[in-house]
Amino acid sequence: MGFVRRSSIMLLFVAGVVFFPATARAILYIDINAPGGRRMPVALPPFVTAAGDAALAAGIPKVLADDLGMTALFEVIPSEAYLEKILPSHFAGKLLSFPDWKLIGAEAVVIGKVEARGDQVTVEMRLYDSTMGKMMAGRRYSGPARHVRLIAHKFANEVLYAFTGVRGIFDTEIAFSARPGKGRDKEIYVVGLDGQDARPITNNRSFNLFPRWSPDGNTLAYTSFRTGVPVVYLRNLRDGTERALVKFGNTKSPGCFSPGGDSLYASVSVDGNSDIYRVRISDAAVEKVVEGWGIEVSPSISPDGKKIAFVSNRGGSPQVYVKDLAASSGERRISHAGGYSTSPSWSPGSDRIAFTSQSGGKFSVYTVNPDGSDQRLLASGDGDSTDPSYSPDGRYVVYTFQKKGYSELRIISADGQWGKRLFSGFSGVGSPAWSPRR
Amino acid sequence: MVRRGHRVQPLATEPGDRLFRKMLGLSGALHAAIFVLGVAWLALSAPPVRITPIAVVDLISGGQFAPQPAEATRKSPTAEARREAPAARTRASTPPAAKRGKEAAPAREVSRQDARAFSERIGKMREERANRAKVQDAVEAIQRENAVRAAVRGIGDRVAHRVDLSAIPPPAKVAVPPRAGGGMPGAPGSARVPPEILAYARALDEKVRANWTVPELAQKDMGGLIVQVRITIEKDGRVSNVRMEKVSGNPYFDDSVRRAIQKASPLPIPPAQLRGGEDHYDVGFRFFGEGWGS
Repeated sequence: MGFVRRSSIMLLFVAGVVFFPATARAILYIDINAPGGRRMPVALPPFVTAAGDAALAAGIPKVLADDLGMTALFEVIPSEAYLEKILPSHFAGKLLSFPDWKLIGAEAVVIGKVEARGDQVTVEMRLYDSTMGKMMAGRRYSGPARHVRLIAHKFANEVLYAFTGVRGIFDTEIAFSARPGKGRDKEIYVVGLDGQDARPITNNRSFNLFPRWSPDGNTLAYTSFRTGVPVVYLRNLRDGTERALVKFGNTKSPGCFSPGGDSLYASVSVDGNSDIYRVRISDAAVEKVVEGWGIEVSPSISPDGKKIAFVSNRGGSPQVYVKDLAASSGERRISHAGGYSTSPSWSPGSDRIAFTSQSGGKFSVYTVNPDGSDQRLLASGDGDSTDPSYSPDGRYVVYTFQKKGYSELRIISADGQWGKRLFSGFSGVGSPAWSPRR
Repeated sequence: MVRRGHRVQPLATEPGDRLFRKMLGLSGALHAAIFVLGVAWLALSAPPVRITPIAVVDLISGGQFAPQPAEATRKSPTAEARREAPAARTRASTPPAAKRGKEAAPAREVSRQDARAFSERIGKMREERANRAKVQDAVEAIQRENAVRAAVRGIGDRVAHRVDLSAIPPPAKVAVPPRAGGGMPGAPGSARVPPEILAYARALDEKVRANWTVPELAQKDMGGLIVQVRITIEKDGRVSNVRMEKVSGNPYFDDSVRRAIQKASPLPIPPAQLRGGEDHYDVGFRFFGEGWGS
């Protein structure tokens, strides 16, 4: 905030007068410092429908606007201001009237054309820099019509990348568990970052909990009670196949995959004592990595795979601890928020750990440095905010909000400045896990 | 050997055995049924496949469009830019020091003489800065309002509603008299700049800065980035030539500067006395990635 204010101060300073030898004319150089906090104005005119249902094309600019609006980097210029109508000929050589777009302040213009034939759709999208009059990105996507939103998310990534060099996360998804009906059963679902297109991963009318993504995003590990006892399964999302990975012990839940994806860290209770195990994906070989006399659960591995955060009640109440996997000792408690802390999630940048903690009779989401310093409140409401999970770029956190039987998924920026409701409609929503980048 | 081999020959080759053929057929039918059931079960029980391939064609790298000239500049500065690089470095090295020493240099000098006078002076400078900030905020608010109004009303009547900063009274006349560096020591060269040039420079600065948007994500590592450009302003204010004398090495930062110049065009019309009888005026800008005071 201070930076923004300071940098918005008008800075004019005539740096000096330099004589340019060729013309013997004094050249003045004016210094300008970067303004902070200014959003780039983007125009998203209605897409052209070349064939098929016009409703398909109508929804895409809204998806792009929502995605870009999330970043706090872009602002969409209201469509009432647009001076030029996009025509099919703009995709066949006709140039945009860039002065018209510049006039309304647009630095970027995204145009698109949609062609739907049967179930298949082809979407062509182009990003123009209206000030320079050049195309920054252009893509033609073909796929099933039901994936038109995913196609829009992919192009939103292109827009972000063209102007910042940062890879977007708009096509990522969030897995969670929820009750689909009035029964007690819980199923695993996956929903897009725009809260749309929620779809079931399991449908066995049992308890299916704790979905966790593999680093390549192709596999979900989760616990299911469908055979009567809890078993951790690996579901291949590409072909729908599945296999049981963790069968020993009593209660068990997956915590996270190792960064390389070759093993899964899970908490398993044997004879009433829950410890954390590393289970190799290829042959289910088991190795205990954290043990204690009490309950050790909720493992979350650091991005470099060298440290593990977990929850233990060894100090009397459940708290978050961090352990160096290479060292035999040196487990450090890092949560100091309240009487009950759980669900650690390591940020992809390795600099913060988000967790749930109880204070003032409710649960809130906090973040803390991995060494236990600089603990800050991130998300809190008039209900319980729990189960944080970082986005793959580390800029956002998804968590569960619950109040008197109502539950929803929420997203908040990692600095706490921006937030939105991601998904509601089911009861018992819990354990959200953000997918890796595609 | 032969007889034994004949005796162990597979039964399937004995066509006369009806029972066997019947059983073989039954077995085949059962296997087929199990296979069909298995496939149907898999198809019904398996969840929808999450990742459906979406074919993507890159319209730029596909050669369908002309290459972007910016890319060339992005990767290798032009020969002209390289030629001018040493000069640019020289220019770049002195004035920032002057700028950053705007407060520090007088501090050293004055504190030796009279600490009280110095503190008064600092207070005055801070006040001036605060005034400038207020004026700038007001100007930006007016600009935003004008831009939105012009955009909304401009349909069908484009010329009448141009977003033109020249309509806004220059803040220099309101609060900050155009003083060449405030007469401070440590600002070499500034004292030689005539007031009319300084007033025009202020107008240019406002217009260009108002149009400069730097992507915040790139801004994270923007400290120390400098872009130096030289532009030619025609007598109608149009920018006719932009030369990147020094690029920052960060293509996104460099592009943001290019956009700022192009978006700011047309710039305030250069006064005739500055053009010195010519129909254009050359001026330079240096864009710093580091924010003031950061």
